[in-house]
Amino acid sequence: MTCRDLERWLDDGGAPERYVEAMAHARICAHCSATLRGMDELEDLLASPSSAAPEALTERVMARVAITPQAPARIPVLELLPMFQTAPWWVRVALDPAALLAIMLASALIWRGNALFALATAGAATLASWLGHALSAPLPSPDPGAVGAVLIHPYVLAALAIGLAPLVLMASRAIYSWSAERVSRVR
Amino acid sequence: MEQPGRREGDGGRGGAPAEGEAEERELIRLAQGGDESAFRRLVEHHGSRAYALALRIVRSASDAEEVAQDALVRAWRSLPRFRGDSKFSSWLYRIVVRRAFDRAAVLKGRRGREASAEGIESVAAEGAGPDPEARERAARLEKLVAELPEVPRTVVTLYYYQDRSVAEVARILQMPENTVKTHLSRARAALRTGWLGEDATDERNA
Repeated sequence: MTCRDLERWLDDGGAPERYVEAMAHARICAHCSATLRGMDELEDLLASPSSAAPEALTERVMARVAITPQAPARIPVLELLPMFQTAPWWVRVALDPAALLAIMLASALIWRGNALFALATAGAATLASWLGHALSAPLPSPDPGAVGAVLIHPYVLAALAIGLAPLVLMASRAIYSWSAERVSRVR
Repeated sequence: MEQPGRREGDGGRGGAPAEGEAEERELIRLAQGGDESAFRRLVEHHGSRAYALALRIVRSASDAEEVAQDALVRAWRSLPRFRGDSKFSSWLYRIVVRRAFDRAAVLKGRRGREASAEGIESVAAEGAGPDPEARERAARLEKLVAELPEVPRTVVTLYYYQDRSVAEVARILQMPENTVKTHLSRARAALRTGWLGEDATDERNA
């Protein structure tokens, strides 16, 4: 091992497999022996407490903690209902909304597959015709007296639906958080 | 010649006695249920290190205290969502690091690097105790650490002072382990050069 190798070995964290080799070199090299002593001292200093926290840190944190509510733990939707809170885990898993939806769809497909397919086709056709009508309808002429007519125009309704969708999602999230917090307090 | 101490690769770092871990798990469980006295004990145990970590990043005692306070209060608020996938201390330090980096970015625009480095040197000297030589060495070390860029400085603090393994540092800073190793290696080289260079100068002057 050379002096450069020893420095590189130190900088890479001093792998134990090359320790004996490094010490053997340090025994015959005064410069590297001093480097090793210096690094020991440096690492000891780095590991020692560099600064004490202010004495009042804990008290100040706890004063803020006293007025800070904890966030509710994430609870599966079905557990919000009291009747499911005491159910065994396998019942809760089985009744998880995604699992429930999958079971319902699978059952409907097996039981009345053709009827379900017809229903889906009819729904898609209705949606397509409504969208086609909305996009092909002429824009209403500006008439200050006919506000009601403008509001029920498909363009306006579509724009309102798109604009309101995020608000509805945010409101449902807020209601979920609020109810989850109530449940966690009751627990 | 000395036996290898810290210089043993990365295995076995960040370990804590099993008894202490069990007690901490119980404190976390109680605090998750809203027990403030259990959380107080966690703050007493980890607050000082959270503050020291913040201090190394923001390099101002008042800002470091504010960062540590914010991080601990945020930890309290989010504690019910802590699932125990990582150590509590690693989870807490991740919050501290994130908030300290944010604060450091704001502070960088407000003040010069030199003024803040002097501030932390005096704080470190005070923390080293009454021995003037120890105070002088602590101040010298802080000056060298303060000259490192922000991320290597944080890596060095987490690895040495917070006694985290490379893997834990990588998780806390959300970066690959090899990047942590590179930062550590470069930081060691810079610190070694600075420390031994100054030592050599001292010896020549003596």
